[in-house]
Amino acid sequence: MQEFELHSPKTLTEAYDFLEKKGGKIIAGGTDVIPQLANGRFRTELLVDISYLSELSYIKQEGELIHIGGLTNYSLMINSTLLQTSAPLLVEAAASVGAVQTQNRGTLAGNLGNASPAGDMLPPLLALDAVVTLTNRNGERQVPLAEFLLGPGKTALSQGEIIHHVSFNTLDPETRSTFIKAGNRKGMAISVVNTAVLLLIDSSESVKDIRISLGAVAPTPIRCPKAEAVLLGKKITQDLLEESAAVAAAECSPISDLRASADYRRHAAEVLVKRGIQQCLNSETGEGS
Amino acid sequence: MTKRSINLKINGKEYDLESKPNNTLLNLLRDELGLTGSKDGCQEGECGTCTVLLDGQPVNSCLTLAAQCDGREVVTIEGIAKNGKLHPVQQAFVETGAVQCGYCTPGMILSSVALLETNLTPSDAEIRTALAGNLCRCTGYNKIIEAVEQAAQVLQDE
Amino acid sequence: MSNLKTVGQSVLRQDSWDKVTGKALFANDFSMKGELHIKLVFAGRPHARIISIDTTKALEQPGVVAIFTGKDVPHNLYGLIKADQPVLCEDKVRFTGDQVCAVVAETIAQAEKAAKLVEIDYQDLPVITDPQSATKPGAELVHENKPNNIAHKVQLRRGDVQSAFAEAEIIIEREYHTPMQEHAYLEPEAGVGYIDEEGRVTVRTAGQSTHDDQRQIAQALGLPLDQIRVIYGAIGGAFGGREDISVQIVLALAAWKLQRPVKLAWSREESISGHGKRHAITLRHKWGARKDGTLIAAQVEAISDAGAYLSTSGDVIDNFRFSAIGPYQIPNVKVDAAAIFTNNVPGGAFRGFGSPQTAFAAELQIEHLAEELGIDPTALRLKNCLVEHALLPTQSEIPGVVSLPLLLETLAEKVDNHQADDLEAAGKTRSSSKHKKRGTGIAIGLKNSGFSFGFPEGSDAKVILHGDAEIERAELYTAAADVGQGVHSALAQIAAEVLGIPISKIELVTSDTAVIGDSGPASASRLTIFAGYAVQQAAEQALENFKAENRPAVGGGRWDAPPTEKPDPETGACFNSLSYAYGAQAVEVEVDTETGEIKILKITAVHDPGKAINPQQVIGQIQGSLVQAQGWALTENFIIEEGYVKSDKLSTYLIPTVMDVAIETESILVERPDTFGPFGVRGIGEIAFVCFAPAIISAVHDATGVWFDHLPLLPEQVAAALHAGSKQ
Repeated sequence: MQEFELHSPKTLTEAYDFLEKKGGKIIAGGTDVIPQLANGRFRTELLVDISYLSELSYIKQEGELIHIGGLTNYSLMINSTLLQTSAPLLVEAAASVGAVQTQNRGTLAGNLGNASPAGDMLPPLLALDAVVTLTNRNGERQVPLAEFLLGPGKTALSQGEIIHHVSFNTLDPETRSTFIKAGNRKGMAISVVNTAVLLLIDSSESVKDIRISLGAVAPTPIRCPKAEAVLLGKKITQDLLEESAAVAAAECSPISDLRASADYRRHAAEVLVKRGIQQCLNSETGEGS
Repeated sequence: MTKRSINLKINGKEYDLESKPNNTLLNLLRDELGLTGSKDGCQEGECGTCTVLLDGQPVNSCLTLAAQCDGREVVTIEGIAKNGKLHPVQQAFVETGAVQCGYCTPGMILSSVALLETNLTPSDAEIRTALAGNLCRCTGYNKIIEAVEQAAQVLQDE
Repeated sequence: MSNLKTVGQSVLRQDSWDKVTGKALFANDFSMKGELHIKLVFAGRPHARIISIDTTKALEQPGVVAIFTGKDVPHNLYGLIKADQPVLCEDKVRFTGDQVCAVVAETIAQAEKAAKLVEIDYQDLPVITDPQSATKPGAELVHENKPNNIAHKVQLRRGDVQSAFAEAEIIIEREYHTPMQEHAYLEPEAGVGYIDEEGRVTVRTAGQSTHDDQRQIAQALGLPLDQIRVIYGAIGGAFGGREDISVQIVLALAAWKLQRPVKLAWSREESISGHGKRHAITLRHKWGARKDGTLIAAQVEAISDAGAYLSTSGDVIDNFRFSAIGPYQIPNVKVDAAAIFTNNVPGGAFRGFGSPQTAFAAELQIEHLAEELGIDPTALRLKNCLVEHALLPTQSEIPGVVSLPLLLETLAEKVDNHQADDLEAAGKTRSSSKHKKRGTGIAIGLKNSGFSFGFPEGSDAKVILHGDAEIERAELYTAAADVGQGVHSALAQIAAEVLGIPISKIELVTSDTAVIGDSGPASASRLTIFAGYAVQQAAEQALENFKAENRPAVGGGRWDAPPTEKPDPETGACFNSLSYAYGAQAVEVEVDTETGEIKILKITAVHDPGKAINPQQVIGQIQGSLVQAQGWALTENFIIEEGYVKSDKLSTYLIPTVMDVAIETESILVERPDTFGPFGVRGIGEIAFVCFAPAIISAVHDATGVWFDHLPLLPEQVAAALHAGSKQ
């Protein structure tokens, strides 16, 4: 592996000071960064290992807000009873990342910071209208996730900042949600397309809240406002459902790469969104999926 | 590159080591401590042959920097048998024919041991989930699943 | 035979204890004191003339001990069959994995750093990527002495296909494409070279034949054979991919020149780009039959991508003489096959050695014929498949016990029962939506064991017995490479059986050219038969000597197999092979008609191992073959563009995980001892791979009504084809 200097701050203050003065590439679980350092796709002279900042590993609720610390790993999210009840789609997404070994190391901040278009935690967090809290020695700032993600590998993180935690509002208990991904293999799949759907239907059976997001179909994961608008305030019919999925697919701007063509991604996006909505409907009426 | 001093426990033994920043846990184990039971198959966390237990949890040692293991505890395949007696998982791998070329075997065993530490009655799906990060190119996985089931039975009976 | 004590038992493998405790030393686990490290400089470009190589800067780097180039290699060409590949390229590179320099330094980090500073000036040449256009006049030549880039051609003529086609009441004409496949053995290539205590240039590595490696090293270094020693430790899978040289000659060269131990380990990317692949082959089939389903004529044209060097490309298509039409009797056959040089990764040996490709086309021809004629595919297979005394396309009688019809009947019975069960269980255990469609497909196949076609076949073995009145222990010497298949245990079982002693008294001495004669490679499903015969003979001789009061009692030496025949160059007529394995398989799949994802639900594999020396290990071979074939059929997409390998990682070349494999795999052994082979054993290492891919295609057709003629069936392509189909 290439040579680099490594600094491992033991406190947040130490981390802020070091990052502000020296900069450097932040590493936590290492599941994204280490392979890139090993094969030379990414080069750095300085690595700042924040994995010892265990105070950033937590999942907690404060009033209407749920906070997940940046260094919370996937396994903790999968096993969190709070998330299982209040944001099951995050649990589903976390469980679909890599395998046990990577789930034990990889962190939420890593998934955000890596900003892969296919990052599995990102569509669910977009659907949850999550806000990222970035901190430095001077304080903190809140950035909506949609504004945090700027492109493949590009984020709004500035030098000296750390992805401290991610927050989102608790959902109406009647909200149904799902996360679905398509890959070229069933185990350890990297998403060819992934989607998160949140659906809340009111007593008159019309859609009170609908949130649809897609990953691996654009430079960053996206929300699909037009597809949401198709359903909002209406009673869902098969035609409307299919229209919404088709509109979602039209909101994508996918590329072709080793894993799939742009055409297939657009097609799969439509199928997955349709199934996502359907699954939400089914789970509400208790039919199962 | 400034070397880092790290203190860690491997297979129950304390080590005080100096390690280069770019040293992975896998390199530390294999090249510096001669613990070659952990294998080097892909350098990207894809094959699982380098799996070790870090504070009891399976991780890819190729994706973990040695410097990230200060104050932590590592168990490798060399630390699974106790007092010359095979762990029930090891014994089951031998008996069911779950070993062919053997290159995936150490990682498979560590993932299985970790599963059975917390779940003595795993379902087929739970076994598969636990082993999804360990590739095998020889066995087709059937006999490996059988081995985990057999070991679970033995551990339940203990 | 009926009182067998050890043969036929699922004896636990002798190597498994070391493998479950981490003690087993694989190639990269073995280190020597004071060893130097090698980093290879690969070509990294598919086709170019080397203008100059400047190692000045690299040599100045700290820790660098030497940099070897082609000039340092006494005879700078090697090859398993024909020496056509430079150890280190001097004037030209022909694929990205060609090796140009070997940088040797005190540490691997130093060697890696210096390797980047070797300056090589290349003049790029037009890149030949497509075997179809490679033969056209004016195409750039990969090898200057090989006109039209033809590496090898083979033909077979039996009967008169023209007249037979004129007589045929139905003709099926189709084209099939099979892709390259990467072995993806979990242990990348590695080894250590050193000078042993007797001054021999020694290489400890992982391969499939210590003696083939030894011969090629000696030839390249210009040293006598006995000055070269090759040793194998534990081998992390092979599947044919270790038949060709990888690290061996460079290790020997550096150890010999420097008189110091050296180590070389390839990365996964270097492994995937550097060693040979299953051949991508295009097959054009035209079959003629009568309305009752009787096959009367078959014409096959095949073009195989040999890649940059010959390797075993010629031998793979030589086998088409008997395998091109699958396991069927057809009186009129015409086969023309060619292997074509390109600048792709060389094609080489891979489990099945051409038979998976030929079976793919032949089994689908049968399915299309059955569909056109409205005949049940199983019945059509039974009507035409090989039976005892049937003639092969090589016009020789198929030898031994031909259990194929029995296997097919056994399978058919099983599948019928399953379907009945499934109907009963439908809706209860297996959920299915309107976008999930299920189907079942079957396929049959045959695979020869041993080299065939007149190539001398046989093996060495030695047994030494110690003890006074009784045998206390028996040393068994064999060079047979245990690549994971368990051959060491199988051979120990054969020895124990003959000697009448428990297997615990057998001490194996394996895979070291210094002390053991040539067993031939771990290939062609041959070791248990051919090394098995040699072990049987050695044990019998040793036992005789033991009874004659010789101490220690020694037996062994060479066992030569009965000869096979070289084919007639025009007609291909010959007695080609001594032994065959057969198989019949069924697979049930579920196709997601929207996403195109295919899930394997249940596999039934019926095989005849003749006599299963170790049933547990035989089933292990079947299960492993099935999943490897599933990968070839569904997920393993080897992408090479303009000669550059794009899928050179395990994150981009996707072999099946435990999540991908069938929940239920039933392996059924129908043992019909063959007339050839110790205890009637047949080679079982490849046959289960041969039948599986076409069975999947048929199952997908059964589920969706769409036929595919290529692999792999990626979700994307399935979805596109189903979408196109639904529009029509």
